[in-house]
Amino acid sequence: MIKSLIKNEFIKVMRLSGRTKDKKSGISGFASYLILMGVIGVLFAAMAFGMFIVMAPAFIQNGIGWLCFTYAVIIAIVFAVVGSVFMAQSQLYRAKDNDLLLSLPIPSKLILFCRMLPLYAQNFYFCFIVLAPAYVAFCVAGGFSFLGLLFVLVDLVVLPLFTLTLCCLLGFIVAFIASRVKHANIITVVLSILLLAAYFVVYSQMDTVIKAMMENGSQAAQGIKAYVYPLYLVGRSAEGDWLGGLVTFAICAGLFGLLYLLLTKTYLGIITRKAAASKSVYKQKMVKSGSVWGTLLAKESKRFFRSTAYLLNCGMGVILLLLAAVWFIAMGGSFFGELQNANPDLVKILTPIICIGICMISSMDGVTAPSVSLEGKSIAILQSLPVEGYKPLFAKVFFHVLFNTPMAIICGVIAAIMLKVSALGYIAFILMPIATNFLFGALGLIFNLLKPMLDWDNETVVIKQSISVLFLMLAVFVIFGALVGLNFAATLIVSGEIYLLICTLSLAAGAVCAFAWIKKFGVRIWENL
Amino acid sequence: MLKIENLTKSYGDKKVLTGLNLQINAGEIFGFIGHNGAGKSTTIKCCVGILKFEGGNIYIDGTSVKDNPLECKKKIAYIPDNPDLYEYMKGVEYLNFIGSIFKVAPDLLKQRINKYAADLELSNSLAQPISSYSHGMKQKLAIISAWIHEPKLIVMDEPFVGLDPKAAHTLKLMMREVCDNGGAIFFSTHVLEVAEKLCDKVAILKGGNIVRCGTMEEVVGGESLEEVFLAGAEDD
Repeated sequence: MIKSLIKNEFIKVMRLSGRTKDKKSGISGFASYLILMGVIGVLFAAMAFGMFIVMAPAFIQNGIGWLCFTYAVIIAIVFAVVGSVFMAQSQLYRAKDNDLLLSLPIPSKLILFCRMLPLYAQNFYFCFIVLAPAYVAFCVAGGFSFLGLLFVLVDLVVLPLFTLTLCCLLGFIVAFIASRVKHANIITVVLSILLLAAYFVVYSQMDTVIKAMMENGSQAAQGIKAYVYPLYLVGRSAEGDWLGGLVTFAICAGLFGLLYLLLTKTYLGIITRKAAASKSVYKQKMVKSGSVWGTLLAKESKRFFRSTAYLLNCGMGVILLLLAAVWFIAMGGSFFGELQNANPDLVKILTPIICIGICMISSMDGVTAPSVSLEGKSIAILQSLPVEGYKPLFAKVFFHVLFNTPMAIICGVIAAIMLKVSALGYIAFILMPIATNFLFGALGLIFNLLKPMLDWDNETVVIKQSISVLFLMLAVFVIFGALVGLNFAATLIVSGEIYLLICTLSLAAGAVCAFAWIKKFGVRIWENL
Repeated sequence: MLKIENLTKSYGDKKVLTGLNLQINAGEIFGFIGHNGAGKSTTIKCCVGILKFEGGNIYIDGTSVKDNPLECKKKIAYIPDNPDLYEYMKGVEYLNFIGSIFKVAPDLLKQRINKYAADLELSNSLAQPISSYSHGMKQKLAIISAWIHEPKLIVMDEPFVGLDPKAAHTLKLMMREVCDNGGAIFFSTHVLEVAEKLCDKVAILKGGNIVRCGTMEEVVGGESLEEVFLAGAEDD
């Protein structure tokens, strides 16, 4: 029974696309997942190794080699918590098969345990890609000890338990509040935005913090020893200190034990409790009819704004652009003015890059990339209605454009004012976000039509982890990376504004091709889903 | 109203429908009976244009589903076996959505929603999110959405599942009303008593083809529908 439950949970998380009716597609989905995670893992591990190989010799020389591993542990904790926290709540509390599993003779604590395992695996992955290269760097600089390796292996097992404890605790708090309030979605959005804000603050300070960590090792070591003694001990465990190893194990395992006890006591109560819904009364004036396009757009809009996971994962670009616009207004004038005085050529190169950057942030809101999958089993409704197949598909892209483009244009115009671009520049700063959003909205849809996942149990998995979303992100990085790279060569021949207009035309041409593909092939796929 | 000619459909190597023929005239309630996996839902999905078929043709009021699916969809309403509706919408929003797609005039839409919601006792819940509905409430909403654009043909897959006795009775009256007004009803069911009492015609599907079809008298003779159906099953 346990084996089947665990297998089921892992299949749900690791499936990137498609229906796993046949064994082959299940295996290929699993293989794609492993390859993808492997590539990302190698990239991050290489970055971590690069950082710690620079840091370790100096620390070891000053007799504070343990600090190197302590830093690695801190980074791993931040990394794992940020990477898993948003999955925790939906994975533990909002799975569609909760009722099914509860109706079977399975203890609820076992269901909880099996739901936790994929989360543990995820935390282990995040910890591993930081701690393993950090320890290798530590060994290269300071030598190897058998006891050190043993305790690091223990740390690798128990530290993910600690980060899992943090993630599940946050997930529990959100689920507990959501099960007791009327507007659970709003509470979830607010809490998630607060978490994200904290993440961005940490992320924006990361560079400064790492620099300070490297430069002020001795003071940091004293501070950690005085105020956060367990962090000193976990660092010492990598040097083979048995007390450090044992205390780390005891703290991580103990805290997890306490959390598991709390969750098992409350789990059934939370997942079976229905929050008090606000009782709206039906009034005749609520009946409205509109045009087909308006209706389809309204449908997409409701789907987007009424799903916390969808809104948070695919709407963050708009918030980032809002912050960027505020920054341009507050600091842009003086920043670009000083830059202009110091190096006018740099501003020339920077102008297209800023416009491309705005477009890139905007296109990362891949609203369309999970939109077909999110139709789920209700896809038959649209398929059985008398609307041409391309209309629901185009409506998805148009909603993406309508949601993302206004903020991108506002941010672009503000940036253009601060950069004091020419009239052509203004045109580029307005038109390029429009072309971008048409193209990437259509691309997201194409990827999802090619790799749909309609039989999901947890919509967060579709929104965050489906292969169409990953493909879109890859396309964003490749295309905008190429545009930035080409900019350096292009500005030798044409002005930045002209280059941006060429980019806009290219993106628009791409969008036209993508729309043509959707109308010719996409509709056929959609009708056969 | 509905004519199925030599319909064939396969899933991979498995032939589900093997040259199925059927005709439903205006004013008829037509019951479709068969054991699990006989191909009832597949036939229904082919009729409403959400499943492509390899051979044969289906005509809705003279229009081919194969050649002009859009025109056919304008004339029909479909209620699937499991009401997977848009859970992020409120009941009334879903009805607005369907009404707008079928271009029902606002006044008519209001009038029909009020009537059918009152008949099925769903008026008080129309402002609630569909996610808070029970299975039966979702089924009632799906029924209202099928009726609000006054289709010529209503195709339903197991429409009585989840309905309380009163709603089931109301649905039967609504079905008869459609036929009295010149429409037609095509529905699948496992409840043989319902089929026997309600249907003007019935077809029994077995192994991808129809083994018996006609008026209730023609199909059952002096026996009950259950006896005929079970006798057919025993022939296996």
